[in-house]
Amino acid sequence: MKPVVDGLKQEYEGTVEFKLYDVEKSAEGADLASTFGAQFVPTFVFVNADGATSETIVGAVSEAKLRAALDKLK
Amino acid sequence: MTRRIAIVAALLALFAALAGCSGGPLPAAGNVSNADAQKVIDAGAVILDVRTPAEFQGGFIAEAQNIPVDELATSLSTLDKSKPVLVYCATGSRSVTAVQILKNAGFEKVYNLTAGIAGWAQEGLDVTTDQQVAAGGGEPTPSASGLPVMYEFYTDW
Repeated sequence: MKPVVDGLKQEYEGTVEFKLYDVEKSAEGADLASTFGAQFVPTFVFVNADGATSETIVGAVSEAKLRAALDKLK
Repeated sequence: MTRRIAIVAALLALFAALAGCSGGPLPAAGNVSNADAQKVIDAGAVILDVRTPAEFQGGFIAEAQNIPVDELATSLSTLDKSKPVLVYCATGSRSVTAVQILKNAGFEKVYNLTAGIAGWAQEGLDVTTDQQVAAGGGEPTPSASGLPVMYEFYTDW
């Protein structure tokens, strides 16, 4: 997933903030994963600027699906 | 005679076509792979998630019913014995216990998803999330940047 996410991160720079956490190594990431109820990796959580969760995707996902979720963010 | 053979051949072809449309027979009851579990689901099985409610909220197979394994023995009346039941947990351990409880109660078509939902998700199969319940644990505050955020939680295996 990394090359896809890295590419999207560059593309959406200034529009969407990307926060990527290795839950095995990052205590903050593990806490956040718990807050979002993420039980599996990878899990993607899309949060609007007002803090409301827009969408959650669990498991392997296509670039198109990620892009669609990113484009829905407000 | 030739005409009779032609009619029999046509009937056989019709039966073969009908069998193909129905997706074939159900796998034998017992342990099933993700692919066979999908066949069982497509056949209209009850999907039973025997993990805890907290685990369930984190993601589940669409249309799954959550009855934690500890509560299964006292909740059997809510399940339809005439339907096949696909049981899963996180990794295929608790579901073995649940399958035994169901069999002891007289359920015949019971399937255990051996890889659990972890293996299911690893294969990229659909896992849905009850966002309203999951978000109840604490809605995050808006990001300091004022931008929408995409979080990715991953690990290097």
